Amino acid sequence: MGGEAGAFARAHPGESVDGDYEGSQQLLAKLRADPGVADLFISADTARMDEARRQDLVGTPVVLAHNRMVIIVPRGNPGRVTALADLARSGTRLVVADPAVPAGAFTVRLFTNAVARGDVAAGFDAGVARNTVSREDNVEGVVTKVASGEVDAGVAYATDAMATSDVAAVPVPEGDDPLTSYPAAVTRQARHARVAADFLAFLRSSAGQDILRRAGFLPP
Amino acid sequence: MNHVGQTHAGVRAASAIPAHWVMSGILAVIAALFIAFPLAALLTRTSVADLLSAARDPVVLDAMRVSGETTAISLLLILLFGTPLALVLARGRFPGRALLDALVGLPLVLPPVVAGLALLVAFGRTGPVGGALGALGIDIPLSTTAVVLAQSFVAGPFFVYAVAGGLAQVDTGVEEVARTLGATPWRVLWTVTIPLARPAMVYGAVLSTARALGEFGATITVAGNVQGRTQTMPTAIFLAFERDPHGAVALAVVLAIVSFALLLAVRGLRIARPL
Repeated sequence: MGGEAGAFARAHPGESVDGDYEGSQQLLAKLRADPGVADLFISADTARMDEARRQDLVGTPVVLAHNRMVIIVPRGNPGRVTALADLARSGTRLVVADPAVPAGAFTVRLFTNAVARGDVAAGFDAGVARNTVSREDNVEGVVTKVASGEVDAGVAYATDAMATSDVAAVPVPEGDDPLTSYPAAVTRQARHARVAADFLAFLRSSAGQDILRRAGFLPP
Repeated sequence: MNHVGQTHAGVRAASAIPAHWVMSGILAVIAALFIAFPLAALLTRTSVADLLSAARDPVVLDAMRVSGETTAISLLLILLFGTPLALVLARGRFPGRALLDALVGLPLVLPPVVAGLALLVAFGRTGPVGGALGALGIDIPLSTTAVVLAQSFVAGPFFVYAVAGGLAQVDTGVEEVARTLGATPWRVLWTVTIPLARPAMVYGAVLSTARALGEFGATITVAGNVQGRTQTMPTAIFLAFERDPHGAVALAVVLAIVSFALLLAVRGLRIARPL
C-alpha cells in the first residue's frame, strides 16, 4: 500500500496518507483499543471488517480488490513441491499462517476445499498437520521462512509471491481457491474523514486500480 | 545581629527541601507514572474471572510450560557461558577488549526481529553451522532449541554486563591476599571472586530471566509458532489478541505480574545491589 499512498499524495497536493501495515487482526485489535487511532481501515478479509462493522467502529465498507492463495516455495524448489498433495508428503517442511489471522483462515479453507473436491487424497489434513513446523502470526512470517529456505513450502497470497524473487508460486486448482477480498471503510471516529474518503475514492479509481493490478491484485 | 541571624535560620527551615530536590521529585514522579499508568490501564481491562479462565486454558498452560522450560535452559546456558565472558571483560587486558565489550551489547540494541533473522541465517539449513548440523539430521530453526537460542542471544547480555560491572567493583586486593596465602587461581576464583560477585550475578540472572520470558521478536522469527513446542507466552499473547482479546489481556497481566515479582523478589532479598 506504500505506493498507493505516495501516488495519492502526488495527485492530491496538501493531502497525505500515513499507513500502519500489519496483520488485519492486529489492526482491528488496535482499532478496538482506540477507535480513533485511524481514519481508514483496510482489511485482508471480510470477517475482520464485519466484526469492525458489528462493533460500530467503521462505516459502510467497499471492496477494493481480490487476491488468490498460492503455494510458495524457495527459489529452486528444493523440496520439489508441485501440487497441493506434496504438502502432505512425508518429509515436507511446511509453514502456514495461524488460523487466527486472515491468511491462515484462507489456508484452512483452501485445504478444506481441496479435500472436499477430491483434489487431494484422504489423510491430507493429518499429513499437513504433521508437516507444519510453524503457524505464523502474519503472512509475512510465512514468506520470510520460505524465502530463507528453512522450509520446503508455505501458503501465502499470490501478491506475496510476486513481491519477492526469493520465492516462487505454485498455483492451486482454481476451484479450491477461496478468493479473498479486501474491504475498506472510513472509521466512525475518523479525525480526517474527508481525506480518508478521498483516498478510498483514489484506490477505486483507474489510477489506484492500476497500482493494485501491477502488485498482482485482482479487480473487485 | 542576633535577630537577623534568627530570621536567616527561619528562612532556611521553611525551604528545608532544596528547590532542585522538589524539581527532581516532580520529574521522578512523572517518570514512575509513565511506567505505572499503561500497566494499571491493562489491569482495568481484565478481571479475576478472565485470569481464572486463562489459567485453565490448555493453550495458555502449554505456553507457560514452553516459556518456563526454555527460559530455565536459557538461564543455565547464560550462567555457564556468560560468567567466563564477564570475567574476561572485567579482568582481561588484551587488544580488542573494547570491541568485544561493544559486541556483547549488540543484541540489546538490535531489533529482536533482526536478531532472529541473523540466527535463522546462521543456524539455518543454508547457513554454515546449520548446514553441518542438518547433515547430522538436526534442524535447529523452527524447533524448541531455536526458542532457547533466541532467548539466550537476546537476554544473555543483561547477565554479562551486570556481572562484568560487579566484578569490576570487586577489590582485587582481597584476591591478591588469597593468592599470597597460597590459594590456587581456581580456588581464588571459586572462594573469593565469585562469592564477591554473587550479588551482581543474581541481579544479572534475574534481569536475563525476565527478558527471556518476555522475548517475542527473535523467537517468532527463528523458532516460529507451534502450540506446545515453540509457542511461548509472548507469542500466545500476540495471537490471542485475535481469538480472544480478554484472554490476551489476562495472559499479558500474568506475564507482567510474574516479571514484576521476579524484579521485586531480588530487591526484597537485598541481594540485588552490586557491591
